Order: sequence, then structure tokens, then C-alpha cells
Amino acid sequence: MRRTSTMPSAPKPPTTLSSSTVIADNASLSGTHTIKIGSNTAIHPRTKLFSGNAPITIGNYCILSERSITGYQSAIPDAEKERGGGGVVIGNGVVIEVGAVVEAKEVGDGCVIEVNARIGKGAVLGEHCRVSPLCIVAPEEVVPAYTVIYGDGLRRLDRSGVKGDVKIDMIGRQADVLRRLILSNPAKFQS
Amino acid sequence: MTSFTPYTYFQCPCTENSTSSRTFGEDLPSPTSDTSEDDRTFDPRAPRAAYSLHPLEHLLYCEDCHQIRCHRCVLDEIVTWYCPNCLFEVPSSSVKSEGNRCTRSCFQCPVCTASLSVSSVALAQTGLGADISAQAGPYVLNCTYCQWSSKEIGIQLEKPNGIYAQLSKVKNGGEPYISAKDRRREDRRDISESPKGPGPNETLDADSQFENLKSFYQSQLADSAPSGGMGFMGGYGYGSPGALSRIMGLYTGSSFGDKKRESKNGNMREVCDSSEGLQLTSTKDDQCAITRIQRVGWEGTASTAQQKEQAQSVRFMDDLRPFSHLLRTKRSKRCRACRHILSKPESKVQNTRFRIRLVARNYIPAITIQPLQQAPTSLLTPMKPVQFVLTVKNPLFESVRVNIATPASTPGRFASKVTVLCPQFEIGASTDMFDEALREGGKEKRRTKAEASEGQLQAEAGKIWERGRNWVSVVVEIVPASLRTDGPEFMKSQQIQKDDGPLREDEDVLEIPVFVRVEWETDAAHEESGGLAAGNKEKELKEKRELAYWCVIGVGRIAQD
Repeated sequence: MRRTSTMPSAPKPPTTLSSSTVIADNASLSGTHTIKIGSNTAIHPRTKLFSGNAPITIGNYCILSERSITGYQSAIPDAEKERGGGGVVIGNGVVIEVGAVVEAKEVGDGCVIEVNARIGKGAVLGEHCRVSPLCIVAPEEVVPAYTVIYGDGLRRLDRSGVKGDVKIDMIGRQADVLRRLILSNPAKFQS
Repeated sequence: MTSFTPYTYFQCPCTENSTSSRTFGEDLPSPTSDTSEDDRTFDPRAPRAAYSLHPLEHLLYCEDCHQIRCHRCVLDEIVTWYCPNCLFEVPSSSVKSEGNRCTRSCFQCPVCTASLSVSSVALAQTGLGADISAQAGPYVLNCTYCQWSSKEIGIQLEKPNGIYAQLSKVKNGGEPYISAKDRRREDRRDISESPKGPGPNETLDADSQFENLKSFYQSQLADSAPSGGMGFMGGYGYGSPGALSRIMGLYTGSSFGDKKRESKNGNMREVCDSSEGLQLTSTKDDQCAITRIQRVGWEGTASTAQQKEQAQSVRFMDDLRPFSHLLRTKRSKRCRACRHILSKPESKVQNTRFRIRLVARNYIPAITIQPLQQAPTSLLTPMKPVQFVLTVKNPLFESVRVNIATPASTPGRFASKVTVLCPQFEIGASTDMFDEALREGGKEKRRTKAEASEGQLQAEAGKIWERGRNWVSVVVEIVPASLRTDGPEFMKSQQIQKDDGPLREDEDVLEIPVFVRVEWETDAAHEESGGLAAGNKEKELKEKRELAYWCVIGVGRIAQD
């Protein structure tokens, strides 16, 4: 038998979802700041979004995989607050893979954050970056656009000419498939 | 402090009959002090010991010599060559002609060495039937790990298969690669139209330079061979002067070869233009490289690891080329003494089984050590007796008698004292596991760890600590040595008096040399060499076998006080 807590459940964070957002029933959205999720973004079951320390903004055509954690895990310093730090801002067409921890201030369009990668607090990823599995981006680090982080912290610039619109189109199609697979329940998260 | 895992290494007998080693500064061993092989205690710290100690899992066993065999006393024979990526078996003839790399479509990323995959550059079609319609070219090689693409070096392919052949025709940047031979043919056509021929200083790529050099020197050698000073040897068919001088050098020493080379100088000529493979270096090349490095920066230069993988010397990222997978081999192993096969893998690449595999752990008892009482720290306290359980496990189908001998104190500067409480015992045969399980009920209860820690059962000298179906454990008492080199003179051992330097690497690890002698009786009829008739006659006879070897047990680290 499952024991239910006598405490009232924690208040839901103020959440703004687009009508086309796919969000699984057992994704976890917690915290006190606002969480904003754009259109055609898919959020897998057991994805964690934590806005206890700073708000989270996610763009369009993103995919957030299960067990990934997004949002500042510790309080942001006052200096950051004064600068009007907007918390975690994720651009369009970003894929966050299983188990990744994203505490970045900004993740540019078309970035791919692979399995169990960690983006340190306040880091900034440029457009179309790719963080390979288990790679780590240090806190406050600024990664230029088109960087590939691979191996044991090796970096290179991808100069093969990524077509951003093609990439976002592909992710959009993946999100369409996920729409059919994931049981979406946006009503649960909107108060 | 890092944790320490106890280990057991076995000495392969192949190094036994070599002379004992001597460290720097040690006195010359006097010839009179030479003791016989059997009396000498094996020293695991001797520099030579590192080459003769192996974990049991790495050793093989020769059934004919009845001896342990390590990787240094077996002969390797290549059974098959195969590509680790496509698992295609490459015949050894084509390995000889085309080299030891996969010539199919297996390529590795020049940046991160992951396998490359082929993908189409064209946009994927959408709409009905898009999934089944074939993708159209051009194609590129893509690294799925670091996102490198052959687009970065300007190479696009027309077909998704036969990449090796396609890549060999294309230079970085997409220009077709024309071999020197083809170019010469074209040049000849040009000459008929215009008088301008190829200059003597034309630049060649590495492949055609090698081709030119090879053909030039081969023709030189062929020309000079019959007219060489060694005319009288011509009848023996040693055509090439290189082989000749080598053979003569064997008899007369190197001076002969040198003399001959001097006499040869008149006949042999060196390369003098690009058609013969001569490439002049100019400062212009260096200047080019410097301006290029200024342009591309650190990002655009290849790392040493990346340069090493390339066939030609390459400095910049733009010059990197995908390289094909190195082939791997499956090898069979033979005993060097009797030439019997000890290990033979299945020749099919996909099959990971072995036809013959005589691994040592099926023949010689495995030895493990663990502390009797669980110590609070992983380190051994100096001068405090500690008991360990030494477990010997018998893999044979016959019961064996085991003798264990250790020196009273371990060799080296810090001599710990070692006592095996029960050095002689018998181990049961490795019979069916279920027989034992069914018989278990009537037997006396086995001692458990809990009882031991309660102190109800003390280890007794001359008695086995614990016994199982095919294993026996005995107690070893160890007094670890103190690692101090200072202190009063009279307390020091002789070795420390001689050498009181600071603690060297891993000198705090307590290693015990153990001499193990195993005796057992086996059916003589098992011998294949006996023949059928002899086998029948000897069927009732039992043959006595014995095996003796040194092994080294790493017990733990001694704490430094």
C-alpha cells in the first residue's frame, strides 16, 4: 500500500505552455519561479524542471528526455539577480538527452546536449553546439557557436556548415512522432 | 590511501634457467657463492621478476610438457586477418599486397577515431513513400561522435559504397587525384602540342614520389648487380647487391660491406630530378606553413595523436584524411618446446569460441588470500602479527597433495616474517558439484566468519582451517616489517645497513614468494602418446605426476609510521 503524505502537495510553479506542447503526465515541474515552454516542444516522462531558484524558458521544437534535470540547482548570487538574470533560457530546436543536467544561463538554437552531460551553472552555449555524452561544461563558461565538445574535454569547431533550418525541421518531425507516443497532459501542470 | 586488492602471480618456468640479475652498485657475485637453482629463493622484487610473473588467467598449460606456458614461451600463428568494423575476413594474400587496412568501406574519423558513417547531403524527401525511396547523392562521411564531416575537407562522394576506391581518387578539397603515371601520360600528349614538358622540379605528392623513388632504385640495383665486384657470386642467384653484402657481412664483419659500397659508388647513381623522385625542399614551403598557421590558428592545427594516425605527415586540420580501420588477427599459440598447439581460435570471425584452449587455470591450483579478521584499515600495522587465510582450489579431477613453502622472512630490505601454519595438505577432486551438495547434510558444520571473529576457533598449527569439495584453506601468520630506516644501528637488518635510502615505489607492498608443489596420481591411459595397445595394458596403472612452481602473493600495504 502506498503511503500518502498528510502534507498538502507543494504548490505548482506558474507555468505557461503552448497549445502544441507535448508534456508527459509524470514529468516533474517544481519550484516557485515561472516555467515557460514553447510550441511543439516535447517533454518526456520523468523529465525534471526545477524553477526553485530561477525561472526557466524553453523555446520551440525542443526535446527534453527523461531523467534530465533543467534549472538552477542552487541559489543564484545576488549580483546575478541585480543584472536581471533570467534563469535558464533554452533556444529553439534544442535536444537534451537522457540524464543531462542543464544549469546553463543560455542554450543557443539547435544545441544537442547528450546523455549524462553536465552544463555548469550560468554557462552560455552558442548556437548549434554539441556536448557529447558525459562531457562537462564548467560553470560561467561561454562556449562559442558550432563548438563540439567531445572526448576528455576536447573541443573543436564544426565547420561543415550546419543548416539550422534543416536541423530544426528534423527535430520538429521527431517531436511529431513523440506527440503520438507520449500521453500528453498539459492540464495537470497549468493551474 | 587507495585500496589494495590481494593478488597472486605465478612464475612461468621459462625464465628459470637464465642467470640471476644484478642491480647497479651491487657487488659482483663471486663464482664460489653460486648456489644451485633449486636452493635459491625466488625474489619478487628482482628486476627480472617483473617479466616472469603473470596472473593465472594469462597462463597456458602444455599437456605434453606438463609445464606452465606464458606468452613469452609460446609461438603465435596468425589464423585469420579481419576488419574489426565490418568483421570481413581478409585473405592473407591481399594483406600482403594491399596492406593491413580494411579496403572496404570502413573508415575512422581523423579527429576522434570513431567509425564514420555515410550519409546523404541531399534533403530527405518528404511525403508519401519517403521512407522507402532511395536517398540520392552526393554523400559525405560523417562522424556521429564529434560531428566531423568529410565536407570539412571538401570531399563528397558519388556512391554510398566502395568508399575506399572513391576516396583514393580524390584529394582534399575535391580535386581528383591523378597519379604520376597518369599525369606523365597526359603530359606526353601535351608535349606533342606544345614543347613545354614537366619541369625537373615539379612537386609530387608522397605516393607518386615513393613510386618514382622505388622504380628508380630498383632499376639502379638491377643494372649494377651483374657488373658489381662480386661477379663470382652471381652464379648463386643472389641477384640483389643488398642481399649479397648482407651475406658477405655475416662472414667478414661489417667492414666488407662498407668496402663494397665504396666500390659500388661508381656504378650507382643517386636521384637527380622529380621523375626519379627527387624533391627539393625550399624555404618557401616553411613560409607557406607559417602563413597558414597564422591564418588558421591553434584550432586549425592537428594534434600529435591525430597526426600519428595519418599516412602522410600532416600539420593542419584541413589536410586530415579519414583512414580505414586497421585489421586485427586471431592467433593460435604453440608450445615452443614441443610445438603442440595450446590455443586455437575458431577461424570464423563471428565465432568467438576456441577449438583448443589449454588454459592454466584448468590444470594448476588457484591460490587466493584474504584476511582472517576483517581489519579496520586496509593497511597492515608494522610488527603486529596478522593472520590470513590462504585458499588453494583444485581444478583437477584427481585429488592432489599440496606442499606450500615460503621463506621465513620475505626478501628485500624490509623483511616480514611469514609462517604457514599447515604447509602440507590434500585437496579433494573437482568432481560433480551436485554430488557434494547432496552429501553435505551429514557433514560437520563449516566454520563461518562469524565464529572466527568470536574467537571460538583459533588457528592451530598443523591443521587445516577449512575444507570444501575441491578446496582447502590454511592460515598464514604474517608479521609485517617496519618501514623505518632510521633508528639505532643494532636494530637494523643487514640490507638496511647496506642501503638506507628512502622508501622506493611499491616497496611498502608486502609480497610473499611461495613455492607450491602439487602431486597427484592420474590414469596413465589418459596419455594419448601411449598408443592403443600400450594404453590397454597400462590401464590399471596409475601414473604419478608432480608440478612445482613459484608464485608471489601480494598481501597488502604496510602502514608507514
